[in-house]
Amino acid sequence: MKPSHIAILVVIAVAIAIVVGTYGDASTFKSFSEAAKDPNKECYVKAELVKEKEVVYDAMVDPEKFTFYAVDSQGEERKVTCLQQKPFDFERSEEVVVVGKVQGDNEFLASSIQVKCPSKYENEVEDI
Amino acid sequence: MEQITFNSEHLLIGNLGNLFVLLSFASAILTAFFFWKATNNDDSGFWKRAGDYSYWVHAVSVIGIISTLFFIIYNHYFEYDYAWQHSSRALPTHYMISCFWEGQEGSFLLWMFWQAVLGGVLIFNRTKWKAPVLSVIMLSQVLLSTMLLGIEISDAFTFGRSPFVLLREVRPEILSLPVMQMRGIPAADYLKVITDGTGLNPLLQNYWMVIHPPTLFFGFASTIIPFAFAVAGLWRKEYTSWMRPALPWTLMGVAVLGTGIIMGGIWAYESLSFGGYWAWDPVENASLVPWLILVAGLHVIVLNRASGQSLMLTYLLLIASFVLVLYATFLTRSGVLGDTSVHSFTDLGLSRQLLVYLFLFMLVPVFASFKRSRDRWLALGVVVIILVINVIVGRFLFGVNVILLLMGLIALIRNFQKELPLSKKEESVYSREFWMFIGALILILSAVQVISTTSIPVMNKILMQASSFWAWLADATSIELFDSFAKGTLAPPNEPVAHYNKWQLPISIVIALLTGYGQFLRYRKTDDKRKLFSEIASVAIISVVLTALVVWLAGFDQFLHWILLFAAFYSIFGNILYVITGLRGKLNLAGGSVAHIGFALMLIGVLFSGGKKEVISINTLYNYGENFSDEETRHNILLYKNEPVIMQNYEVTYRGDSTKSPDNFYIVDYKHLETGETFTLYPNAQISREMGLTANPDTRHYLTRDIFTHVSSVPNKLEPREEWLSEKMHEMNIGDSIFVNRHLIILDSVEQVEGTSISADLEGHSMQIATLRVIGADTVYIAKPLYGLKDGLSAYNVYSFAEKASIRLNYFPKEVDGEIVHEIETAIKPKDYIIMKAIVFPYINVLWGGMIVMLVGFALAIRQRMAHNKRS
Repeated sequence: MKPSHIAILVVIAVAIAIVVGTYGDASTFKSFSEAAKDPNKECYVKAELVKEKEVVYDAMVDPEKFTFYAVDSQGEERKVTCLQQKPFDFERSEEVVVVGKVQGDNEFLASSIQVKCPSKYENEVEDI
Repeated sequence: MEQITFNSEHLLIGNLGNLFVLLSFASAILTAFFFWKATNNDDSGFWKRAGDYSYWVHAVSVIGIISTLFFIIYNHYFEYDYAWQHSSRALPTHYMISCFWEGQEGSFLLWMFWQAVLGGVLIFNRTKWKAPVLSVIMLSQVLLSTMLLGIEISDAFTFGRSPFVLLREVRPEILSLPVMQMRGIPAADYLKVITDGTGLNPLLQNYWMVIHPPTLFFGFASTIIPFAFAVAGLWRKEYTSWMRPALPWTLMGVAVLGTGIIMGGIWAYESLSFGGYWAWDPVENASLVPWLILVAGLHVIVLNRASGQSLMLTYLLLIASFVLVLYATFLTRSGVLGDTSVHSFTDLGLSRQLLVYLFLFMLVPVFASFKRSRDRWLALGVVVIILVINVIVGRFLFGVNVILLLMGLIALIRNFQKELPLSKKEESVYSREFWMFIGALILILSAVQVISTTSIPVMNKILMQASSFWAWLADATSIELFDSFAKGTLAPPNEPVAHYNKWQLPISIVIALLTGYGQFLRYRKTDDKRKLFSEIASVAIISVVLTALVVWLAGFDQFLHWILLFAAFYSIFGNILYVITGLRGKLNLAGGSVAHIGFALMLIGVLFSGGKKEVISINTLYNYGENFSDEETRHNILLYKNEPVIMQNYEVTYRGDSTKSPDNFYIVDYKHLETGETFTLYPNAQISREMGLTANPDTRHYLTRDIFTHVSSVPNKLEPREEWLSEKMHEMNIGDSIFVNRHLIILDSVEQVEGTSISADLEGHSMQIATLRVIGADTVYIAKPLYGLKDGLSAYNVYSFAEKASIRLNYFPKEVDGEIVHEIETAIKPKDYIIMKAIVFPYINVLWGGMIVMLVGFALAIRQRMAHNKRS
């Protein structure tokens, strides 16, 4: 066996380890109730902002905390506390992806959030 | 339905544009065909000439598309969807060019432009490689131009998307807007309402965004040349001689794509608020992976030219780098990244076309590798049948297509082996080529790691194809992961940076060591081992000493960081020593060594600026309770206007904002507590309905560190503000205190006086005066709200303000069961404020400097290789 063959075998083994490692580190998209089953594990939840309920943010009290209510794809509503500064104009967003875990009985504690705003065009029609 | 004639539209220019699109498509097909014929019939000058002519027609039509689109944007013809979506009247001319890369159509156009430019250089090539290489490039050009065609096949499927579609065609609702009905404007005059476009994303209105995308696309486009040369080699059955002309092009691809990626990093650092130059975002990763593979390919060409080894790997890497560019394009444009990346494009319905493009170019080398044309046609037949089946079924048959690709790969390797059996030569671990080969493998590992994590959203789609199998496996093994395979709910790691670093840190250590050591070896065999070991040892000793010194001074505490530092120093000194002893100081031959030194400097820069980065805007004012004790997440501080706050070694004061449309600048004064040095930073933000707050940082640069500052949140001035907020009633006894707006308020006394003692107008009133003390951090205010009764009815009350504390106080006595209860109403006035984040990046200049050194190395190497090709 030539040294280069050994090297190729080693590299293939490491590559497999990397791919397996990737899926070991991967997180999952869950619903709120699934997230509640495993309260210590961080996961992703895709949800819609409940616009009727108030988004609470007081920069004077805590610039890096805001709370809102969101409904997941199963139709379950939960209060979400996000430990970040509130994204600007957050109230107008529709879909949010929160990363975090369920804490206590109800609340979802998010360490990061991604916001999907309605497309530019829809605003424009409203504004005209 | 009656035909409406729309007024004030400029339809001619759009028709011209569409004509150019069709012409570019047709001429690309013809050029590819002519050069294909020219490849198979070497003697005939006819096909070559035909190819030249149709190439120029193609080039002119690409320029034509670009000019027409620019004309539309420049003249604000908002009847065209592209202009309306991506520009506005207020947009300065120098940013109009950026409109080209905000939309997908425009960025395909940019790519086509660069590919046409590269074709324009190769058209003057007089060698036998011209025809096959151009044939491959033009085939890619055919597929790119289909993206712009915009031919409607059925209601559900349009072939390509033209940049010249009209607004009313894409969005018919604009013909019946409520405002038009209100003002009685007929649909024919809809342009009276559409007076402005929606504008360019503020993030793109930045000078880095004027130069970064074109450079990156130039890099993407240039990866096709090594690919095309490799295919040409297979096609003409001349398996190695293409490498000499391909090498400078490969170097150029590495240099340009590298520059593009680096510019993206600088742009992120200069104008994005995520706080860094690299975030492992899928879109960044998608451009990094082809680069890593191209760098590996570059090294393998060099080693093959010198020793004849690793021929197969050379082909695979050069082919893979362009295929990965296509894969990157698919990732960022098909919408598949959707929930995992903040800045990918939204789907324009081009994903199917992109997949065809990707799969076809994976198969092009396979077709080329067949020796007999009968086999080629047979293979093409199989591919076409499978494509047709896909179309008939109306969905992408993943399993079938993957099997097809695997068959293709096997056919490629088999064809290859028939022609060129693997080398049986002795190989020595004391040869340079062996370690270059290892280096290429390590670069592949790096790419595999990045691509496998970035592809998680794609894997969801793929794994879902075998959903029932995974569900069964999940049941059988009760491993949660298989369950998410079955449901397609895999998400990227929660801590992406840690995840990537875990692999990429050891990988970069190995690469740095290889770059520092490989060059002391000779090709084939190094005989003088004593000299070799003494060189290695002397470099190692210097590096150990320097590493120890830096670790001690900078206080690195992770072992892997020490090793990385050592490896980087090793690379720097190894390469310097090689230039001095190996190359006898001839710098024009030292391109590779200089690039290695640059890379090692970049590693040191990353290690310092990333590993020793320090957020100095730690918020220590509040106690967040036991659930939120994680200090690490409190990285922003609140600054009230004109109220200094101590932030690490600085006293920072927010002085107010100023607007220079579209930017709002926030004036932040910094004063160093020890040296007394003062400076002012102007982080800015653009606030728009569409994008929300887009913060641009401002950075104080020093030689050894940067102070990076951006606003995270500001009061929303788009919404009208109430003057007084948070009205609240408090029941208080004399001597009680409440805490409002960071002030302690104590009710000291309530006294009763006659109205006339205050004012003659208040005759007959019985007045109550509450005296409240408002105690702030270093001030005390006295507030005296009044309450008056006349004939037993509440008739008069007067607020009292603690103006500087922004508190309004009112007093309402109430009688409950014969007792007087004092009620104090408080309200606060929101003060102007910003929430700000500040980060110190130490030695980030080492990173930028390393980048420049690396690019200089590439430039030296290109010059040397070109001179070498000319000489021989």
